[in-house]
Amino acid sequence: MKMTIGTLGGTMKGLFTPEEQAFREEVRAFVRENLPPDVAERLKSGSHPVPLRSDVQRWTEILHKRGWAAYPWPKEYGGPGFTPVERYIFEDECAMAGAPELVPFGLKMVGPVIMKYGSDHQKAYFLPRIVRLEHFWCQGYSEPGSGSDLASLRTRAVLKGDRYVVDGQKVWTTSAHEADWIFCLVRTSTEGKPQNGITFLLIDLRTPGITIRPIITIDGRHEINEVWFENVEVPVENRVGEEGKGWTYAKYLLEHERLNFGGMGFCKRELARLHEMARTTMRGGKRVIDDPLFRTRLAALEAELATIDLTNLRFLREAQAGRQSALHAPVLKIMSSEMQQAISELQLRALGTTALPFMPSDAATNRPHQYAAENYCNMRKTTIYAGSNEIQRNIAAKGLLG
Amino acid sequence: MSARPEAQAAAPLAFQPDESLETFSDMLARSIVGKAGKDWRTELWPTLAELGAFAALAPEERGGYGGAHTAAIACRVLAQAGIVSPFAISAATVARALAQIDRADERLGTIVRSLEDSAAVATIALHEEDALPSLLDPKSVLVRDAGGYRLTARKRMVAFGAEADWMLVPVRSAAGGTGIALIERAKAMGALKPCTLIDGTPAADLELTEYPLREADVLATGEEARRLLLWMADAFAAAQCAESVGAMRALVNTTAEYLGTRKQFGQPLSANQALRHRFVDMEIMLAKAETMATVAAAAVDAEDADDRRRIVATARYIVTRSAWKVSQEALQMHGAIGMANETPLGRYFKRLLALSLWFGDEDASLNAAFA
Ligand SMILES: Cc1cc2nc3c(=O)[nH]c(=O)nc-3n(C[C@H](O)[C@H](O)[C@H](O)COP(=O)(O)OP(=O)(O)OC[C@H]3O[C@@H](n4cnc5c(N)ncnc54)[C@H](O)[C@@H]3O)c2cc1C
Repeated sequence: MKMTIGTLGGTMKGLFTPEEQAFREEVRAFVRENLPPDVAERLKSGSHPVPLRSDVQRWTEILHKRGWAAYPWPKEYGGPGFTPVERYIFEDECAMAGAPELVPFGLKMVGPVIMKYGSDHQKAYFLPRIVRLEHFWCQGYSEPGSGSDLASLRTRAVLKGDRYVVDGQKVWTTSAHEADWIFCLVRTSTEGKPQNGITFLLIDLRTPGITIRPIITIDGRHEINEVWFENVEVPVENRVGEEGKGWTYAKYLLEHERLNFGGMGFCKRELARLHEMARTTMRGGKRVIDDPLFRTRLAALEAELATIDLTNLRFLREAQAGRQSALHAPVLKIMSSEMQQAISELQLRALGTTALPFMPSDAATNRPHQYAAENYCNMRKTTIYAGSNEIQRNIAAKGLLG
Repeated sequence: MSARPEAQAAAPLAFQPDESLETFSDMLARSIVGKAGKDWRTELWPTLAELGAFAALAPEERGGYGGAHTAAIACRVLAQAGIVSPFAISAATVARALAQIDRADERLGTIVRSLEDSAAVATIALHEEDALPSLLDPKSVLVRDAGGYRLTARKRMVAFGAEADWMLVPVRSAAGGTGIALIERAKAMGALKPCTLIDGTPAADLELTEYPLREADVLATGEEARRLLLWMADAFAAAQCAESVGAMRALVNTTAEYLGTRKQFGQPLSANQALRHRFVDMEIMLAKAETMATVAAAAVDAEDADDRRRIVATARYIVTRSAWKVSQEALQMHGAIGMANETPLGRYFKRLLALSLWFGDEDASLNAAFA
């Protein structure tokens, strides 16, 4: 069975300009020649849903030499100045080939906020370090009592002289255990609307008083953490913009985060893995890929993925022409996260009982294991984080219905 | 006091409330509180024995009551409490199958008795390379030998394989006939490679090459072996349907409680209509699963092989479909805390994941229902 989506890897006519097509070829060739095979192998085996820092570091350095490490950024900050469609093509080719995703917290989140609202010193100091991954960032927004209702956050920061003193707790912090810096929303005032008392701070994780505790997720892995702050002193120059305006900056960032949610390259790579699983797993004496019910599910999934991929592209074309819609961000986030889950679910169905042994150290009797069950568990996160899908639907409904 | 249901002539009707079984279920639920995650052999087995859970599953002439129906109740209650144990595969499946073998064999009689009084535990090797159980056409072969047989077998992730005292191994003869071999763990330890499944079930791969067996180690061949294997597949699938219902009930209850207590935007999550409706849909899916799990249990003892297979497969289709959806929705409505391994929620989520795959996903059951 041929992958219908394969034809979308740039070969279908009428979707891309000749320049874009040439750009795709260029990226593809570069990745083929430069991506270390062991790095690609780790991601394609499914063993690491969040890539190792060391792998990201290696790939970042390789891209840096080519001027692509800050691929989402404009030229003035050291990026290549890609158009939205070029960026989409770039991510597509990298992910399909098994390149690790670059750390989004620096490149796609705090970086753009610093560019827009940061001081000259912050821009000069932080941005180049994000590019080379000298600073690995994480995001300190959520708290135990403040998830969807983020504006209710309670971590306190009190200005004493030239420093803020921070006390409180963040939770579900992705990669805090690997990170050097954390950007945090903190409460500097309890007066007026909760949104108005929030400030955006950049905090060095080596500062005394910070404790990071692992949270193991249901797939048995460690990617999120609790981050505790006790009398943590933060120099006032590490505040972004004005005190009390953090919510505005955070909203800008959240929009950025959601528009960047595409993840289509990741989906295509996982689809390729799904095909391999279905070709190599036997069910009732037949290859799973030859099972009519499975094929129906696979065909439906591929039609859906192609549709989402093309809708993503359509939104980018419209945005590039200045026709942004408030619907684009929530719709993309919802579609993409649900697709990631659907693929992982079908992977699990394809492997069936072969997927049941948990993180086998010796997978001899169980090859290829592919971590389909672990990853199915892990992928449940995608409809929860980055603004849960329920919250996205609320945003969309507000836009549509008032 | 023993909650063991009194011996009666007939098993209760499927949906007919039965006081004796309700008492059994209530006492069981009370007496296993806090036993999840503990060693089943020392912590759980004595309690189950005391309550008569094993004896109830024996044939009626030995004082049993309710058969697969009683087994389903126990499986549901155990799973709802988050307990992973060999009750479904040993007491509800293998023990009851062995009791059906009508043969004057003193050792077999002793084994059956030891399973019925909980002194021993047995399992069956369902899987080989294939993602679905390999029961009637396994690749494991049994070859005649002077004075007995030689068994060459590759079995994958046998539930409680390294813990059960006895293991049934589906085999084929060189001529292609079906058979069931009996392996004693004490003698086969070296051939077992343990692993843990995603839901915490301990399992083991079995690898035997020309392993010598005596005449009496082959429990059944030909038509009798076929009949027993098919019965065990249905009995185990029905028991797993009951376990799924128990795990779903736990998730639905936990979710109801969480929606009522977790506050965001100044109100409990349960104030959001979007979540209220989805919660009701979870209850509806669970209601369907409860119905069909009960029907599956009834079919295990009452129906002939063909009808039984169709009914159990149909039930499993409904239960499995519900299990995917209910577990996904429960996790989603918990938000990030649902992703944390520390909470019971994740354990139930993974339990349902595993239960939904032993006999294939719901497509496999749909296929079987129409075959
Ligand atoms: C793997 C993972 C990684 C994460 N990484 C980070 C990170 O790096 N940094 C960070 O700051 N945060 C991170 N998060 C946290 C994430 O942003 C929050 O989980 C998310 O905002 C939801 O909050 P909550 O978990 O508290 O759920 P809650 O807000 O308590 O919501 C529970 C459920 O109710 C629903 N709900 C809530 N309100 C409504 C409503 N009004 N209408 C309808 N439904 C509603 C939600 O959608 C959800 O299904 C991560 C989460 C996960 C799972």
